[in-house]
Amino acid sequence: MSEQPILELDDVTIQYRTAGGMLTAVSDASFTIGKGEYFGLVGESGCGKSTIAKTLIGALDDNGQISSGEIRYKGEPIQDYTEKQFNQELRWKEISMIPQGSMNNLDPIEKISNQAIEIAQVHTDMTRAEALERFEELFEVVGIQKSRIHDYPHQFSGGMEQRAIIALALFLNPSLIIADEPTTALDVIMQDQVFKYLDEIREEGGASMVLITHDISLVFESCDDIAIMHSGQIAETGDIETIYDDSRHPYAFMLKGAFPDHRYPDRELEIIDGYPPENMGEVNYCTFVDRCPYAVDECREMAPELEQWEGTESDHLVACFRSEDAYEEHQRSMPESDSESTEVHGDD
Amino acid sequence: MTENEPVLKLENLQKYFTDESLKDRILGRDVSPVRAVDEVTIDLYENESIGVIGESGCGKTTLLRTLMGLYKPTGGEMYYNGEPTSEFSKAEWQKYRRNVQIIFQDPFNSLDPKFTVRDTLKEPLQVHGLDNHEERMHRVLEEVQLNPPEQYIDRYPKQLSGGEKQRVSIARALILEPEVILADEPVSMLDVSTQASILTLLSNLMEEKGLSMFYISHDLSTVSYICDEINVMYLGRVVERSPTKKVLREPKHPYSQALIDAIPVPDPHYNRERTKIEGAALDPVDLGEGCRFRDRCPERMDICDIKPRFVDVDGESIASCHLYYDHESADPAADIDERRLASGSTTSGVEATGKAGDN
Amino acid sequence: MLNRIPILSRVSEGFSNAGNHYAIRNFRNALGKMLDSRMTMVYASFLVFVLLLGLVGPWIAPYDATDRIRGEDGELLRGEPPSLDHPLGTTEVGYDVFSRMLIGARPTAISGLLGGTIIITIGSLVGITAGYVGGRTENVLMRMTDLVYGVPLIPTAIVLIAFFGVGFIQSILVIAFVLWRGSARVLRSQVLQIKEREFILASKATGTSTPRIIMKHIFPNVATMAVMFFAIGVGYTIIIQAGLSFLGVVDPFVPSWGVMMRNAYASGQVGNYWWWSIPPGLMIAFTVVSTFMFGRSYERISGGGDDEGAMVQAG
Ligand SMILES: Nc1ncnc2c1ncn2[C@@H]1O[C@H](COP(=O)(O)OP(=O)(O)OP(=O)(O)O)[C@@H](O)[C@H]1O
Ligand SMILES: Nc1ncnc2c1ncn2[C@@H]1O[C@H](COP(=O)(O)OP(=O)(O)O)[C@@H](O)[C@H]1O
Ligand code: SF4
Ligand code: SF4
Ligand SMILES: [Mg+2]
Ligand SMILES: [Mg+2]
Repeated sequence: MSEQPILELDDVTIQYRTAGGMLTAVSDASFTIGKGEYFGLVGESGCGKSTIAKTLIGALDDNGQISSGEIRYKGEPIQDYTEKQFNQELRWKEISMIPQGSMNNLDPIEKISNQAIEIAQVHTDMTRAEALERFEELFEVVGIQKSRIHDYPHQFSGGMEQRAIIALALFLNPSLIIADEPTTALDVIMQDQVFKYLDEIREEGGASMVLITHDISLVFESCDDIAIMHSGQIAETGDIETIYDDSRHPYAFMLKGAFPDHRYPDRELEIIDGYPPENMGEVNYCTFVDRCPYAVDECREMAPELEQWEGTESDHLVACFRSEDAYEEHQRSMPESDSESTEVHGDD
Repeated sequence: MTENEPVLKLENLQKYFTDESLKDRILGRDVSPVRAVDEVTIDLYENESIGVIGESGCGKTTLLRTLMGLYKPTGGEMYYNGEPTSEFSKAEWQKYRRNVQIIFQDPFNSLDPKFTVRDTLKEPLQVHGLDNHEERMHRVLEEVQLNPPEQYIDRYPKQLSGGEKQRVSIARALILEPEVILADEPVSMLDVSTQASILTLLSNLMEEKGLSMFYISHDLSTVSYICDEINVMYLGRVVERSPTKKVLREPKHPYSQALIDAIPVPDPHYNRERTKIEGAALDPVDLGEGCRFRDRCPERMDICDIKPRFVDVDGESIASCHLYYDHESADPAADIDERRLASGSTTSGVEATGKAGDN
Repeated sequence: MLNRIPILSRVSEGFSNAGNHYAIRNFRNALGKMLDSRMTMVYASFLVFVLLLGLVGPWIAPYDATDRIRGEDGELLRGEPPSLDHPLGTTEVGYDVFSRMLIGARPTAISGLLGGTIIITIGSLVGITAGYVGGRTENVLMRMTDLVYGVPLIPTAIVLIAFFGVGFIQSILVIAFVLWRGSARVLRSQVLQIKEREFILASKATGTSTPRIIMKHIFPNVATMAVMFFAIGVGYTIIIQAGLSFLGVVDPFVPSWGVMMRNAYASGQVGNYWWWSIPPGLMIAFTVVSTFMFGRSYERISGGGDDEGAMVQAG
């Protein structure tokens, strides 16, 4: 990747001040997103996905802070940007966001077109007419009649509202879109409709995207690279094929096993016992240790670092002291795991 | 109860909502009802688990609440062990409520925040005048794998994780040792790791206790772990009924096909095509008589303005779609008298097959 | 935490003896948490102090309310400034202000408690019934509430009290029979939200009877609101009753703090005899502020937190 990456995170730790002390929501997270790349960030509830998303657009909650590490956008460190810098230089025109639970993110008493005009006027010097024209174009891109830009949000169905938000996110031609659970509230068919438009945007080759979701299948279908998080730590990252075929972190391969696949209704689901811990202060242990069947004492004494997995040629980083042995033990314990003989759906 | 009688039997069950305001009544305006559940016919046998799937707003929750006796059906009949529930006395309802229990979708709303686990489990026991409270509560907590029970029994919901709350909900449903469990998307709000353990727990309990279950969901990939048979619902009507694996492999109704084709597949090597369906489902008001899927259906034909009959497609799947029967030789009266047909084709598979064959 | 204040610790022991009833448990939990906050502690202590005064004030008061104090020379002590013998001085007609303050706590406490109780009883009966039962019952009850909303409190109170006599208790009743309206409205909307929650449906589906659902599920979940409205009702009754006393429509022979202020004012000497008018004024103000603040912090502390789980969802 000779081209400059769009976004780089280097050992980023993000903490919240709480009554019980400093809660470490993200610890030493690192990943890189190239130009035009769709990057999936997966993990269970509370693992720090939204915290990363909010940090990237400078909207971390008031009690939150980036305690260490560097975030570079197009090479430029942005972790110390002020609110004003974010507004003037980044939001909407460089980095835009499709927030979690988008259903409530449009102002219910303002026409959608007016909301777009306002964004344009705050962040660019587009005229009203230019803004409207551009917004109409985008409505067509996301498959809503352009005349409907003057509707109020409540006149839209959930899926349309979500697409209107995607139109807003694309509005000022950003280089990076952060989508936090963009379809969690939608039905499968609507979800698929939304991803159809996200695919098209990718084909046009404009923006990169961080897709944040708890649904690993969306990432496997729609992204190039993936990072799997567990309780603030990045467990494993690489391109989706590598992670699918050859994941080495116990949480990563167990999560894959826990995920239902409707093509194999008879496959037994893997169970990951226990719950992620709440991490206070410095995290100098593997956060998966209490749930990991392969844990050893070492895992409690030090946080494993992300290291290149030798078996793969591409970038494939794993943060586990025992990735080799654990993987083998897991393979052995799985009863004939590879013979997914009960397949009902033939691959097309 | 005879050997082969269904525990629960829905016959053309119908629930319409009419929001007629005083003003409408004074002005004599006719308000079109919301046809939330429209002539649904389903049989649930002992130790069987039947799934109902469909998009948001298709009437799943309304159906479930009608089954719980929270809504009075506006048409059709519901039989419990052969007895029509519309003729139930108070005592019979109380017996029904003891034997038919529910698990809700949202673990964050389904437990009273002011009740400890003990209070939650005790209530059904008190209402039905059972004894041995402590023993029953401990046993049921062990069954849902909240071990040791002492550690959980005095906790408030906010001291439990999502998965633990859902286990308490399941425990509340099991404590009266019911015959039927109604489950409204019991895992859709949970994380994958937790989801798997709750699904496994539910299917083990079904087996051990010989329970019957009505399982409602919009998520087909989890339904397949629980249900033997699936009913696909669209805007208040069941459009297809098939064995679970059959519907996943070979959906018949165009809507079922769209639904299954839209499920994301957790495999980057698998090239799934994105959905071809446009738009969203309408509200079930004033939809006319024809097929309810017709405004989005890729296979739509002229005849689809007439309500399609329920036909047996291949001995396994039953679908309500004009694609699956030959209209030339059909008795024209058949299209009009759907009510007879809908019940006829489902109450007895043999008869239905016979009919389809006749056509 | 409860043990900080002896009377509360006794109260809480009483609670535990009353069994581990959920409502009591919830109340005790909230109270315990509240008393962790220093300001709430101050308000709570002050209210306990006023209640104690109401209980024992008349006994410990050095003089009777109507004892006219005479000096050694047998002269009436009119408008004496504070002294060692009379820490708050005397009034124009020679009453001991300090004693009157102690004695005046009782009518104040009674009007507050009685008013608050009536307000919250009517308010929650109307609000909860309307919210839970719905339909025509709800319509009728809420129309009634709207009607009461149209009633201007002070003028009506003046007319009614003047009409039916100027009794002390009557004045409280009139106030309370108007002021329940706010709590009825808010409780109804609370109930409307709660009754749709799935734990209520689950309970209905097991066959729990309506009264039992109201008592066991609905009421405990609006109880924090109810406690807040009770506290506010106490405060309002006290202050409005004092206002009415001040206007002279209430029995002037019940020696409440409000009546004291009125007498001070009526004497035309407020400016001179500050020790006569300021203490009851301050006591009324402190009591009312304490009830409001106590009610609010109870609501904040025990109402919040129950639903925090709702934020943590898949994803
Ligand atoms: N009390 C009611 N009054 C009027 N209409 C109602 C009522 N309850 C439900 N409906 C309507 O009936 C239809 C079916 O609703 P229902 O809640 O059963 O859907 P659902 O399949 O459970 O959806 P979801 O997956 O979103 O839970 C919807 O159009 C809904 O708006
Ligand atoms: N404003 C906040 N104050 C304190 N803790 C917070 C705050 N926001 C999030 N957290 C905590 O940080 C962790 C990560 O949260 P989040 O990033 O929202 O997770 P995700 O999006 O992966 O579900 C969780 O433990 C959460 O409870
Ligand atoms: S083996 Fe150790 S380092 Fe690896 S995932 Fe398990 S606990 Fe973490
Ligand atoms: S009846 Fe017609 S419109 Fe309906 S699903 Fe079949 S083909 Fe499509
Ligand atoms: Mg999140
Ligand atoms: Mg529903």
